[in-house]
Amino acid sequence: MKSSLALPIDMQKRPLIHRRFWNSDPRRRFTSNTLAMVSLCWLFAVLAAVIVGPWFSVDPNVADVTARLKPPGADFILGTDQLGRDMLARVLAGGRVSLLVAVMATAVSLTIGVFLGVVSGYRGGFLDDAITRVFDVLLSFPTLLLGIIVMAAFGGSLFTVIAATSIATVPMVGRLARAGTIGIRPREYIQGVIALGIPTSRILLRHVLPNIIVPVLVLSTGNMGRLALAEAGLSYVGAGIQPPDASWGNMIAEGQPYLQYAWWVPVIPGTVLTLVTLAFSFVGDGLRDAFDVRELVVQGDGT
Amino acid sequence: MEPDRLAFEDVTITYTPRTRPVAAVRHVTLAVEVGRTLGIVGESGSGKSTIGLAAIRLLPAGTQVMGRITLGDTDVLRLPEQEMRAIRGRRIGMVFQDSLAALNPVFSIHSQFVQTIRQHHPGMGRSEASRQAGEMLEELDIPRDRLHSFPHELSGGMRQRIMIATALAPGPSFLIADESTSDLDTISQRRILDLLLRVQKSRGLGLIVVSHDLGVIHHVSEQVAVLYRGDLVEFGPTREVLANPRHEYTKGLVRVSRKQRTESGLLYTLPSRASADPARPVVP
Amino acid sequence: MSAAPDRAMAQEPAPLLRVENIVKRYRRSGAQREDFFALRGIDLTVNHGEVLALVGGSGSGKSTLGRIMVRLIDPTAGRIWFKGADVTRIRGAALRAYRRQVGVVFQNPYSSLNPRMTVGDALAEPLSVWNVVPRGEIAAEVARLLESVALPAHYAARLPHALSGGERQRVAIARALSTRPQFLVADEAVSSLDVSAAAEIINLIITRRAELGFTVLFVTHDLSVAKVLADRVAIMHRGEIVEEGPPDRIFAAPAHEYTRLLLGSHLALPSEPLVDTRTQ
Repeated sequence: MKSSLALPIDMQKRPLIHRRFWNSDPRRRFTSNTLAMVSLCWLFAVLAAVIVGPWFSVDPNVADVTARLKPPGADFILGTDQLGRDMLARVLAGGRVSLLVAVMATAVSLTIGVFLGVVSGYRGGFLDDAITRVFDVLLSFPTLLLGIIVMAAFGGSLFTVIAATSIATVPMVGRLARAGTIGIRPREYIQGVIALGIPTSRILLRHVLPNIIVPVLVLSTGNMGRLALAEAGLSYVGAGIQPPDASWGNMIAEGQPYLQYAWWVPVIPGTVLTLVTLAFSFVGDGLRDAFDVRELVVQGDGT
Repeated sequence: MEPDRLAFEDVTITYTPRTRPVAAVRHVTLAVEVGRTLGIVGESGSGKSTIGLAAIRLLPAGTQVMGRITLGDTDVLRLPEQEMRAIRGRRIGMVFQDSLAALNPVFSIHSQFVQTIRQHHPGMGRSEASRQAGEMLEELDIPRDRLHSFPHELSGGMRQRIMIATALAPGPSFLIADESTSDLDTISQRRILDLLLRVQKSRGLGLIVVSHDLGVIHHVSEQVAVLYRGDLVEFGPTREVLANPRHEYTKGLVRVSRKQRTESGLLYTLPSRASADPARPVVP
Repeated sequence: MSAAPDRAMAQEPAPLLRVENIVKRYRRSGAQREDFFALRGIDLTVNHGEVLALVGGSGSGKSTLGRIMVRLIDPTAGRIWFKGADVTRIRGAALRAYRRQVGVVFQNPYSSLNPRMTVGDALAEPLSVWNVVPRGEIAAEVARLLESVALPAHYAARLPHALSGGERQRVAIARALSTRPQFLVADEAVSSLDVSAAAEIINLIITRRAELGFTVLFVTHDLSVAKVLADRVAIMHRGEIVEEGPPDRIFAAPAHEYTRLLLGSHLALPSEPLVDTRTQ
């Protein structure tokens, strides 16, 4: 942020904000929420594993027909699949894809959704009506169906998976951002800066955005699990990441026939996916509960 | 027997925020009888609202109340919560400042009001409750055509009337009005206060009016308690106290309320908080 | 200060802002409801250098009129003239430039400052947007602004929630005056404050005005505030101005029934007559 004050006030401010966050009640409430904290640690562990892991594991796409469907054990920690590929390496590689999709789609939908939501909520009128209608239409499609349509049109690749899942999430983010903006638009602190002749772009960036972003971020965190799931869903039905590249979704799909006698092939990616999705939800819920009372917005000092 | 006196004896109330305990009210002793009116005046942070909330035990959890608050012979502070419910609302009614927050936005005035009456008179039929509701709303000059409105459709003054009617529905002997007219304009404020006085007389209520406005206090209350940062600095007959204030703070408050000017032509003001005693933290 | 003798000496008052036949209509949804007229054809002139008190009850349209004057709300019909120029329909850069010349202070001190912006940043923003002072002097100017409203300089690092209602209102005034406007609308600026904090804010307006010489529209429901501050009073009721004149005349001999009702409803301490008995 380009601050107008590159001066003493600014220098005092940075550590202050950091300390304020650490001393704030939402932070306290969140860290005392065991489920959310365990989930957060698990997510960080998974994230670290999928980032670092593939450098140390074998090539996930190298098949070894002599070592097909080996159960988890000393040679292969998580066993091997129907083509004799190392499951651990594939889970890690697939996780990269799933989490990359979740993170990228969240970033994309946040950027686009917040922009559209804030602008339409602030401007109102025809633009607002138009954007709201588009959101309504997009929301009326199930995420998976929307994804399949996009994949059918543009083909399956990492990029299109991200695009498809983002499109489904933009309206959720956008609606929340719009609602927040409409809620604070008539507030006197917004009217006050309008009355000072501050340019609209600056009002949106410095006055509206910081005051509506918390619930949006909370929603997006909870949504990341759903995005990972959506990627898996698309890959599962064959519209997402294409084999031989690994993704938790296509691993489950490919492993499904072997459920009876080599359970680990579909169950391991399925379990990891479930745990990651749940963890995102728990963290999201924890954040929601922690921020529910808007601590930084003090209501008044009634006696 | 109906209790006829609400008394605070040496009441000290301490909030315990994360950092350190803060005394909101210190050693306050005052009382109001049925049929009488008491005004509690003070600025924000004086603890004036805390006293009213303590009487119906609605202070936030973790608040410590020492001393005695008695309703007739009953020590309110020592009652189990179960028995407190028979007092809160039924013996001591409360009207707050923010009527929009206190009324349920999704029900009409009428249905909320009937609900309140039936809650306090179990076994009463709907039509009987509805009839009583009509009577009470009439008593408070609420036009019948407003009955089926929703809270947000009414003016602030009208909502305050509804709040008063709701508080009176269970037939309390005492009513606490906490800044209940502060958000209203001059004319509605006057009307609501006069209405409160009328009901107080006709029902023989003990009325406690909490306000920061000496004009309001002077208009409604026979006795006044002046609170300054949790201390009761003066308590006595309103006319006497305001005509001959003894404590420096009361003197200042009277001068400020009269909009007296200093030699420089500016309005008289009280010493600001910043320069006041730092050992006395302001109640949050 | 609003001393009456000055006014007697002053020549023909020069209009600073004038509204002509301002109508504000709100469309009502629902079947049989007709539209609601917040303002029904208001004509009002605010003269250079005066304090005009706009007094009325809630729903009288007084705040709407104040906001229309600074173009926060668009009127349904009518015209706004500022220093001889029609500003009713200006947009974009011209509108922003107009807003720089006018300031607003609102009623609720708890919602009038961005809760996530420090006092210093809030004050610095208009300074840097309008280049009121060179970039390097902004911090010093922020300190000066704080000082001008009797707040210590270290408040610059604070967030609004660490301030009392009166202190926030001071910050709001300092900010509204930071662009050195010629016209200030104070919209119920003291109504939510304790009596002493309100008196401090009124004093602040008196002293800042003596120094900077801006014109004030003081929107209030409280006649006693109008009495101590105003050179001229306009009484509003149901979207119309029912009476207009010098405070002494209005308080001593109210012409309109509504004004009489207002005066009669005012709750005062015994020796605080509303009719001006100020001793010199």
